[in-house]
Amino acid sequence: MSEQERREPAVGATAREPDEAITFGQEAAGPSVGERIRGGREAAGLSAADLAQPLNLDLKVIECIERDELDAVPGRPYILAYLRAWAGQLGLDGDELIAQYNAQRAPDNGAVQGGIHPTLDVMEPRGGGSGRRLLGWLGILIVIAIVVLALSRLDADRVQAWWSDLQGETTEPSTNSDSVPVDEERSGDERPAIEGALDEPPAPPTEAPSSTEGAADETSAGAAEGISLALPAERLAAIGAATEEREPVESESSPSVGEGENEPNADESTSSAADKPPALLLRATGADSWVEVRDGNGERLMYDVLAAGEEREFADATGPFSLVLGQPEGLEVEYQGEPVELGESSGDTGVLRTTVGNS
Amino acid sequence: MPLRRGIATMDRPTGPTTYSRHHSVITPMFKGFRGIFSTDLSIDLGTANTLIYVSGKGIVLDEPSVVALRNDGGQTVIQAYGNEAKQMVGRTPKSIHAVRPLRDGVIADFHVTEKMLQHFIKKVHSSHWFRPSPRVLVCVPVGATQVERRAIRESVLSAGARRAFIIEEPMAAAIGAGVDVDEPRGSMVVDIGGGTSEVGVISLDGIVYSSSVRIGGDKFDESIIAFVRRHYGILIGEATAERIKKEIGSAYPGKELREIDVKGRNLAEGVPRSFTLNSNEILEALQEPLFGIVQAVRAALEQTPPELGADIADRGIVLTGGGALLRDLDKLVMEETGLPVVVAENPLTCVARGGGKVLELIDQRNNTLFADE
Repeated sequence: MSEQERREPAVGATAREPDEAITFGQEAAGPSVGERIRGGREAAGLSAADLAQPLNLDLKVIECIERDELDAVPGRPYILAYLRAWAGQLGLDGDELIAQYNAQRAPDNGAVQGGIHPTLDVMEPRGGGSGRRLLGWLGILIVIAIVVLALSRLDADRVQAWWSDLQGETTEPSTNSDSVPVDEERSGDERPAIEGALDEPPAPPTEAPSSTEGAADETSAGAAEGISLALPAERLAAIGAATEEREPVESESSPSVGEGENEPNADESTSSAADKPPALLLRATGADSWVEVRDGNGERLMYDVLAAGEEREFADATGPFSLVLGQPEGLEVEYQGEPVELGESSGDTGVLRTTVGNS
Repeated sequence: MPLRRGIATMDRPTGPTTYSRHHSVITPMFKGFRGIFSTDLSIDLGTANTLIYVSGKGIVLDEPSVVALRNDGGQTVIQAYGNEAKQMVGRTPKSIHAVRPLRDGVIADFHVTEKMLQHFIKKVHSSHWFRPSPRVLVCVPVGATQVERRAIRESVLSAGARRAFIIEEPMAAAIGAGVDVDEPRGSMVVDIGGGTSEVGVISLDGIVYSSSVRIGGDKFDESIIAFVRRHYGILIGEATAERIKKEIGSAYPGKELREIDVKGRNLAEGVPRSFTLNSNEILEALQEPLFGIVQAVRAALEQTPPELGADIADRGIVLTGGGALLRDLDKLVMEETGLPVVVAENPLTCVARGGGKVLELIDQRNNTLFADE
C-alpha cells in the first residue's frame, strides 16, 4: 500500500489522465502500449507492484514501460515476454499489444546491426582453401591439360629428331674444347651426327664426291662403309660430308684417330664400333608400315608406323628379334647387315609375325 | 528434442540411398564452383531435431534427427530420413532399425550423420543440376569436446559443405532470441534442447560462463516412461511419452488438471491396456530432470561475476529451445531463482535463427569481422 502510494503520484505526474491519453493517442494511432497497460491495470484495480511481482520485476521497469520510455528498460525479447504476461493478467489481447509495440518501436535488429562478433571456429576442408586457392588449382590443372594435349598431338618422330639434334648440339662444343679423347667423343657423337645427316636432305653432288674422296681416315671410312651396308648411296654422301666436317676438329684435338698405331686400344674400339653393323635395320621402301619390334628379352623396342622412305636401326639391341609387321611387302629387314627374307604374311590380316636372328 | 514441432513439410526421399563410405578426392576442388549455386545455411544439429535456417527464407527445414537403416543382404542402406524415419521408430521389422545419429548433442554415428546432413542440405536446395556446396554454420553444445567438435566439422564438410563455421549454442540462442549480446551487460540464456541443456552468461559478444548438462527433452520422455511403468505397470513407447509431455506436461502446478488417455502394454498381462494420466502425475514424473536443469541455472548464477549477476537480476533469464515450450517451465525457474524469467519468441528456432544472423553478419562485414582461422 505504502509503496503503491509512493509510486502512483510519480506515474500520474508524468503521464496524462487515462481519458486524455486515449484522446491524445487516438489522434495518432490509438493509445500507446504504456497507456494501454496503465489503463488496463487501473481498470482492473491493480497496482504496479501487482504486475511486477509475478514476474519478479523491479517496479521501475513497469513505470518506464507505462511512460513509454522503452529505451530505459531491457531489450526487446524481455519486453515482449512482459507484455504477453501482463496481457494475460489484465485481459488484453497479447498479440495486439505486441503488434502495437512493434509498430511503436521499429524492430530491434540490434543483434545484427550492432557490433556482435561472437567467437567462431572457422574450419575449412582438408587440403582445400579459400575460393581463390581453389580457382588457382583449377587454372594450373587447365594449363597442364593443355600442355599434355599439345604434346600428344605432336609427331613422335619429330620429337625424337629434335631430341637427337639437341644432343648433337650440346656435345659438339665439348668436342671443340679439346679435352675429350677422340675415341670417347667419336663413339658417343658419331651416331647423332649420322642421324643428323640422315635427316638432312642429300648433299649437293658437287660437294659429296669431294668430301667422300677427301681426307677421311680409315676409321671414318670404315664407319662409312659399315653404314653404307644399310644406307642408300645418296645418303652415304651426306654422311661423308658430316665426317669430313668433323675431321679437322678431331685431328686438332687428338690426332690419334688417324694414327691408330700409337693408341691401339682406341683404334680397336673405334673401328669395332664403326665396323659393327646395326643388329637390326628396318627400312620402309614402298609404303608406310606399322612395326612392332621386341628384342631377345621381350622388351619392346618399337611400336610405331615406319613412314615410306624411312628406316630405323637398332644398333645395340640383342636378338633374336620378334617382329610384327603391318605391311611387310614394303619393308626391308637387315640383321647384322645381312638382308632377311621375310615370310608370307597372314592371308586374313596381312600382318607378318616373324623372328629374326634366331640362329 | 521431442517438444519441437514441425514447420516445414518437404518431399520425402524417393528411395533408399546406398550407405557408402567412399569420399571423392577431387571433390573439394569443385566445391568452390558448386558454391555459386548454393545457399549459406545455419544448421541447428540437435539430438532430436535438425533445423536449417536460410537467410531471407527463415527456417526451411525442421525434421527429426532420425535415420532408418535397412540391412539389405549384409549391406546397410538408408531407408528414410527425418519425419519418415521417425514414424518408423518402434514399428520396424528386424531388417530395419531407426537410429538417432546424435546423442547428447554430439555425434554418435559419424557416417549416418554425414548422410543425413547430405540429404538435408540437398533437400533445401532447389537446383538439381549441381550438388550443393554451401557455407554452413553449425551450432554445437558448449560442453562438446574438441574431438566432438572436430567430428561435427568433418561430418559437415564430408556432407558437401565448402566451409564450416562452428558456434556455441548459448551464443546462437541469445542472438536468435534478440538479446543484445554486444552490450556490456550480462544476459543469461538457458537453451533446453533434446539432448542437452545449455546455460550461458553472455556479455560483450563473449560467453562469460557456460555449462552444459545432459538433460533435455529426451530425459523428460524417459522419465515419463519410467513413471508409467513404475506406477501403472504399463510399458509405453517413446512416441507416446512425447505426446503425453506435449499435451499435459507441466513444470509447475497449474490451476486446471488436464488428462490424457493413452495405451500401453500391461507388463503383467502382456496385453495392451488403456489408461488415463493427469498433469499432476506428469509433473511428478518430470521432477528429477527439471531439478537437474534448475540446479544448472543456480550453479551458473553462483559462478557469474556480481556485476553481470546484477544485470541478469534486472533483465531476467531467457529460455530457448524446445524444452522451453514445456508448460510453466518459466514459472518454475522464476520460483527457484527469484529472478525474472522470459521465454523467447519461437524458442524452438532460436539457435538456428541466431546462427543465420551470424552468417549474414559475415557477409555484411565482408568477412573482416571474423578471423578465418
